[in-house]
Amino acid sequence: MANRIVIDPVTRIEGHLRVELEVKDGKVVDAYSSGTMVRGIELIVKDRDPRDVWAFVERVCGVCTTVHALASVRSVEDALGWQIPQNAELIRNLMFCSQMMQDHVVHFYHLHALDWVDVVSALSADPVATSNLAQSISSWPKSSPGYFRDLQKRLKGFVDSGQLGIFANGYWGHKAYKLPAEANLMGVAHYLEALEWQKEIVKIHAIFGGKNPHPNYLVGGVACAININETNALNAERLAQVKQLLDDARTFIEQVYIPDLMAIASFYKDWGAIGGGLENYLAYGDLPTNGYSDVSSFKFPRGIVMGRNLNEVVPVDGKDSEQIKEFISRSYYEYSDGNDAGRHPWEGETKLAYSGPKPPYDFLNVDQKYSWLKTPRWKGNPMEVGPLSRMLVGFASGKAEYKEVVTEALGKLNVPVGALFSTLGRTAARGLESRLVANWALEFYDMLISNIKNGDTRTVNQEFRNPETWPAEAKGVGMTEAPRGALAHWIVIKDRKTANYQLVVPSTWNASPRDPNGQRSAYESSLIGTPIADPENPLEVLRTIHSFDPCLACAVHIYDEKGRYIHQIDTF
Amino acid sequence: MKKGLILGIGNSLMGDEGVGPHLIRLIEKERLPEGWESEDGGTGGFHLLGFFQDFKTIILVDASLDDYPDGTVRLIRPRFASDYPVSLSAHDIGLHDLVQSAQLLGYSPEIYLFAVSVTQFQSISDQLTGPILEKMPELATRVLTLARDLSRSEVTAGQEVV
Repeated sequence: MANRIVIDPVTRIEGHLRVELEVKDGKVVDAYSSGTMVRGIELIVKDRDPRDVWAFVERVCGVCTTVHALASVRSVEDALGWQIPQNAELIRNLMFCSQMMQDHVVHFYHLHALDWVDVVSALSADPVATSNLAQSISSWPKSSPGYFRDLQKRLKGFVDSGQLGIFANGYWGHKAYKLPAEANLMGVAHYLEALEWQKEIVKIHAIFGGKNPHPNYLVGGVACAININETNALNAERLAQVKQLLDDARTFIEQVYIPDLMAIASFYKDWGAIGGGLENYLAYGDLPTNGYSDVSSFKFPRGIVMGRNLNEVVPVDGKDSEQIKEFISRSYYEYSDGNDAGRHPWEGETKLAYSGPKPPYDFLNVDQKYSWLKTPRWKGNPMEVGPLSRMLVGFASGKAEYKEVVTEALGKLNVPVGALFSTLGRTAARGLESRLVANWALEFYDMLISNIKNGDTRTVNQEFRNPETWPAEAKGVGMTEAPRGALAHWIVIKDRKTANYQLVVPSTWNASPRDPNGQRSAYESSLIGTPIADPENPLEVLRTIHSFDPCLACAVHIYDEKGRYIHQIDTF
Repeated sequence: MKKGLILGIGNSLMGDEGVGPHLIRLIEKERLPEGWESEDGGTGGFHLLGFFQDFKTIILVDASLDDYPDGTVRLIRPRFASDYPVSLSAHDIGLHDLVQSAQLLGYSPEIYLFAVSVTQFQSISDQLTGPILEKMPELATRVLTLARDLSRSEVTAGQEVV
């Protein structure tokens, strides 16, 4: 007889996620992932001017504040055939890169590291040994014994004061923690340094987008004018600040993030064989260098790796009504053509129909509908999305940069290629692509400066500014890569208004319930076989779930009351 | 270091949960004291940490889930993260983490929090509901008055003011 474990809510994520697990003989034998808040953003943008929609959808989440705006403006541009100037593309790319680097670092240190780093153990570390360890893996200057001694004192102060605060949600002392005390202290030190660094990098959003969080976007270009001598424009001083921030970002990633990732990973190599789950990996790709319509110019290539076959990339088309479909057979929605139907997002419907148990309840009815997330499929196949998918699609595309960072990391850890398909692989891929992005950002910056020097300061294309020039009906799709995976917005424009709008977000791919054929999505699939040392403290489950960087705020969206989601259910 | 910031927090797509950002829009055109700024913080989380380093004083405006009637406005002087009322925001990474992170890093702006009680269930909307909407002019006046008083240093740190 298997035991049922419920984790609700899963902490250190954005939004609300519930996981139910069946555990037998110390291993997970089945898993159910449920989004416990409902989504309804599609309803609020209906009938709005398509050019305004980005400003609404951007507000759906405070974590990836830019990616929804990007997907939205692209969907409108795609519908109308609206090209943007190269400078606008470069500035969007720079905002994308800043967002991704900030998000990955915050995820690694602030949401995920505490699954591997034991804060309380850091209190007993020897500062001299910590200094030796830090200096042996990196040239990062903050590594003296005195630095770690002071840090330890500060940390002790927090623990003694009972204000452990953000470190409170941990399974400290759990036997699955394997780092020596010195590595734990170094991890905590960098937790704090990462906090300092991340607040700097986001200034790039304010420089290009006027404000942060929730910077301004613009259909047809970007919302900033370039004039190197003008106080209120993107001028020489602000561009120099961007350069400084990008240089600092690369230094932080190369000297802190990557050495920490490798050091921590070397103690947890067994996780290279745990948490693999699905064998299909989808990436929409992004960072165009020759226009969004030229997919071959993307730094992050688009495509699918099927069955872990790294010799082939299968193309994906967001406009083909037979490829991407959302199912609701296990979700609290109704479709006009029945429970087992799949609908392409352009034909998407958002009709809420809660049919779960009346709260309070112990378990979900996992044989029926059990989530507010719909279930997306590509040609009927479940797909994992995220950094690992991007890395594998890049690797399979044969791009040298990907081969280089992946081969180097595998070599350093002395693990086989198969270790990529795992919890560890997911977490490592996030760091490795941060390295790539840090370098690409500097390339984009140089291209932008070169354009300006050559007298090209255009950031907007006004071609379709007058809605009278639009067709009576148009459809578009805006695809991008959020830090946590493939994101796309589908828009149908009728009579210059938004007639239908659907988001298929990364955590919908990963965290969704089963499809009509009973196939599991990525979270559920990845948890099968996970060892559980202590059912009361299922740290191992959090490691795998966190390795996806869950962000449920856009996958599902409505409030909870006092942190207990169940109170909301009976209002529907 | 900059003098003062009025920071509205919340999700403006979630009805009354957006009271913070709505307030910022309301006072955007008002004259703030010398050296003061206003900012719509949205659901910013860690993105807002820079403000806690840059400003000497921060007036926060946020929706609060508590047992007071809808639209009750309380001015609080929180010292620890646990002094903050339960936020309506559906975000695990929210104001509490932000405040604690600022503390860990040793940033210590003077913080005043206008907590607006919102007990109703919110549905997706970019509008405030009646009881909150009625309070907005008064809330704006109180926020601006506090900012002006603070800039004249007439108010010193105390317990819950109202």
